[in-house]
Amino acid sequence: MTHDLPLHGVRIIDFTWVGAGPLTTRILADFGAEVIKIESRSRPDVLRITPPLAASGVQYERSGYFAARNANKKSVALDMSVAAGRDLARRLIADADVIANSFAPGVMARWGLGYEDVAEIKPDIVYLEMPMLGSEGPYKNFTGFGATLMAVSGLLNLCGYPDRPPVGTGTNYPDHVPNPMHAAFAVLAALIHRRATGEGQKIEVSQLESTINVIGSAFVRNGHEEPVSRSGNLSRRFSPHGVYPCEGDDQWVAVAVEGETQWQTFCEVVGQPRLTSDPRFSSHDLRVANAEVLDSIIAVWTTKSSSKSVMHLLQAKGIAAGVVNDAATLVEGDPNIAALECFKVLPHSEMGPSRYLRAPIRMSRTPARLERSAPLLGEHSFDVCRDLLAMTNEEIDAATAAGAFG
Amino acid sequence: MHKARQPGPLAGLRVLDASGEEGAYAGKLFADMGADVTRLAPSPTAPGAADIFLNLGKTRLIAEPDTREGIDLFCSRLREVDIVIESFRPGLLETFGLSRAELMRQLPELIWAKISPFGTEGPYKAFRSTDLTNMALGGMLTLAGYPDREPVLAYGNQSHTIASLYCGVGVLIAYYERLTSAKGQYIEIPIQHAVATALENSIQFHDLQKVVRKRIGAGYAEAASGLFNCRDGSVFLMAGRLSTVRGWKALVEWLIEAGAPGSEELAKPAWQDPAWKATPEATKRFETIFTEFAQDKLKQDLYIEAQRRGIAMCPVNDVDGALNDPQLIEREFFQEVRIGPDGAPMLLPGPPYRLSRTPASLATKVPEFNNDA
Repeated sequence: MTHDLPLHGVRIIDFTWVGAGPLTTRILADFGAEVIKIESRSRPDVLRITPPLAASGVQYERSGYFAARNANKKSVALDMSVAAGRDLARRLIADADVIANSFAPGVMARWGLGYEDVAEIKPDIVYLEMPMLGSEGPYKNFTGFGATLMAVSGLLNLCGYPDRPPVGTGTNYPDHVPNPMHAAFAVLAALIHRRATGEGQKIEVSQLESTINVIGSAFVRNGHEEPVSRSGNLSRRFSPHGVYPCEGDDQWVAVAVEGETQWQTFCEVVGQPRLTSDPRFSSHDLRVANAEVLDSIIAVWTTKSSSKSVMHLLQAKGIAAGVVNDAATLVEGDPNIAALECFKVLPHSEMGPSRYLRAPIRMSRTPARLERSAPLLGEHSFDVCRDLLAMTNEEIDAATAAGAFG
Repeated sequence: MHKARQPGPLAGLRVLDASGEEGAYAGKLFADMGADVTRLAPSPTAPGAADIFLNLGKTRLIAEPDTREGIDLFCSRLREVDIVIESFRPGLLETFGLSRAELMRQLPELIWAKISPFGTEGPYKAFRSTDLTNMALGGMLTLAGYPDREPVLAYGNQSHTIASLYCGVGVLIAYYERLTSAKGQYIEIPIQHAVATALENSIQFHDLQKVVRKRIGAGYAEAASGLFNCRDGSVFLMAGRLSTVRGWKALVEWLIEAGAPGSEELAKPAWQDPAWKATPEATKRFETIFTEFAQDKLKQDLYIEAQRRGIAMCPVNDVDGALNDPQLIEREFFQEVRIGPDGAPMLLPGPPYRLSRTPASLATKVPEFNNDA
């Protein structure tokens, strides 16, 4: 990593695994932090065997799910159940700025790497933990995933049609942006505080508490508003507001119309000027109440055209509309995504050329770098020992013999 | 009694938040970390829950950002802040004869972050957008919904939340760098790009396996994954995926112990095969067996017993269910806040993180509208 990256000089010893944790350290790596991912050969990150898998490559080195989260990092394989492995981890921490983990509560402490243990080695360490429900509390040892967090937090129940069971976002959404970015924000704030005072600290990101914050307003009880409930694609502010079928197989366009002037324009574009005087649609509240009828009228029109042409027709008149992109149309067809250069293909020794996402943060003076594809398991074990710990080949051999690199 | 706030890690940092609805959550992140945040926005017609949650604790400047008066007010504050966040439509400053680059030349330490739907240079830069179209064009909307219905929008303006989070992270990276270089810089967060990072493994499935992921309902298309009804609602279950193989075994043991009709069948070798479990037939059969078992049980009881056995199952909470979650109550996550001396107490979610030395805490200010300060 080069000197002009904004987080140059920040070293992170990264015990995170699976979903949210690795994305936290990935964004920091993209901006120049040196992230050393501590892995285990006996208990590899479960994502290393999780699809999608490249057609080529040996076991543990084929997963696109893993690769996307771990670009720009170094991998050191340590057997933390062996004293020699734990000893190397401690030596790495002694010169680190941040240590991060996303294990269940108690795992790090069992290795002698709880916050108090680490603060003895490195008093000003920024220590990040990301337990699912928190490090303390009656349910601290419960098990789950991004998807279960969606359910417990109330987010799942708020997504979907009122006449069907809730459907969520179709992803383990908390894992992909909310929890990693909350954690990264907290780590950066703690690093800034450390610059001013020399003080480190512990950061606990309960992934449940983090998730609730992305639907925070639903929890505000101010006595004036109806409790929120699942309402499909209906909106309090826009009408019509929906997703409409277009020409072709499973092609859709999203449309949001705001206010009476836009409604009149919309009716003209759709070729139904008489709708503006239809009493069923003469106000926002009525358009919402009669949304089913209105949406079916709109669908008759959209079905005759491609989603792209509907989008351009409406946008030309100043109405918000967008094609419903999927991965294929994003990567291959969306001219704006192409202009933004959202993706970069990097070589990978096992997977071949693979597509990675860049950070969506464009900086004028110190832009992010995306240089190295995901590391092989333990790829940098010896390099890190040599470069960071100044170990000789004999010392590395001795550590190997003691079972440190498992 | 209102406890005095301990200084947060960003105490002393000054932020001007002119970011409309797209970046309001970014401003909140700074405010709850102790920064001094000024929000420049039109007066809310009726301050609702979203406004309270997102803007409590910010000093308010009332102005329409796309009027001369609003822009003058905005410019007059630039000298007094370290950070500005805005979401002006592309070209707005130019219509008033101003240029961002020129303003920044006069203020070399200023960090200026812009959230825009499509960036400022691409072919869609002048397109109108809302959360719905952001989610559509960013590729997230296609993943949500039932296959027989249209894709369905996530609750809560998540495209704004996503952009706000990246904005907050980007600004702090730039500020950390400024501590060394003493130089500010310009940061852009295109919402479309930001949403495209939230697609789980969709990009990689397309890249590596030429599979295009679309909406499949709730949960994965396999037995013991997804929503299951019980007496007072439903539970969400994940048993068999990722690292949940043991969860599946524990679940079958539980059902057999409980004498659930049909449960013996689940112990047969066929059910060890992931390919079988992914068939509609297996999915349906499991659902029948489990739903019959769960129909007279409460979701909270199922939650506790499943977790005791190491099974990834949890209640599907509504808002009240989450408000009453014993773990959140024990941790005092929801906090009572009074706005003003006569304000009625309100419950608000606490910050998303707990810092041991410089805690984040809900910033609360009497929402006085202070255009003269």
